[in-house]
Amino acid sequence: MGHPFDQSIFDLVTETPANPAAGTYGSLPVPNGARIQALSISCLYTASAVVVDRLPYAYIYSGAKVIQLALTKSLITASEAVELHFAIGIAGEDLVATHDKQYAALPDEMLAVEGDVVRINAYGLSALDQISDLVFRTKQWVSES
Amino acid sequence: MPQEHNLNTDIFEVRQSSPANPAAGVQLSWPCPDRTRVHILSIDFRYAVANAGAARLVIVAAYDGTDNWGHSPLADTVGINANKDCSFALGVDARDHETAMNRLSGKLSSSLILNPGDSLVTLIDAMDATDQLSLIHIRYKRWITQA
Repeated sequence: MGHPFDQSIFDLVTETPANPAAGTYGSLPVPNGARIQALSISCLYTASAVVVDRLPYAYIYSGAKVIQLALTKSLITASEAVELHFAIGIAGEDLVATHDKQYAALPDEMLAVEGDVVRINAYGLSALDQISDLVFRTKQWVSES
Repeated sequence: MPQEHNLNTDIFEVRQSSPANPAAGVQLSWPCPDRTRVHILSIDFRYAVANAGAARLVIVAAYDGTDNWGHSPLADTVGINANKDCSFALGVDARDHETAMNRLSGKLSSSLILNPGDSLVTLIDAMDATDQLSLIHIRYKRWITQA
């Protein structure tokens, strides 16, 4: 039996997944036998010219359920390219007008287990929208085999 | 098989519960399982607000059979006659995107640590008899006590 995920013993891991296809969310699956905590998630969201509101959010996808969800302060509109930065403990801010950036607080304990996927997505995601430059910083616990 | 231990706060399991929908007009009440201590990390649900009454104030809290604590509100009240997707989690920003997206979030109190006999509850102010909660998902840490 592996160790029971003692929270005082963890690795720190930075993951930079490949860009998803256009119109698709960004993902970080939890490795087998591991538990992770998302500390921060960043990406570039490039909205297509399709006129629709997009509401970015970070979350855990677990058994076809959306949980531990964090919303940005403001919507993204057509043809905007916005850096999205989610992190624990920060104040959510919309600095798109001056710096093309939005900031949002991640849940304090965004804990994902084997089978879960940490994702960044947007309500209103359009088929030609592009999520790129993904960076996930996580704590990781791996069960001994 | 769950790890059994004596409530070592460094060693816990991460679990999820998707309880059955309450009856229309009935608040959520999710009891802490026996021989377990839980710390609520997040709760998400859909709130179908009937086309009647005043704007609802949606609150999540804990209840020990006598008193409530850890009252955690959404970013704003919700209007009538639509499905509102409500999300609460520790440390997030409380956001009101009701107008464009029918989505709202709230910052969950970190005090929602429950023992057997306690429950996680909603305290929706002005809830109508035909309002409906559904798609309820609760994420929590749990410690199982030794028999």
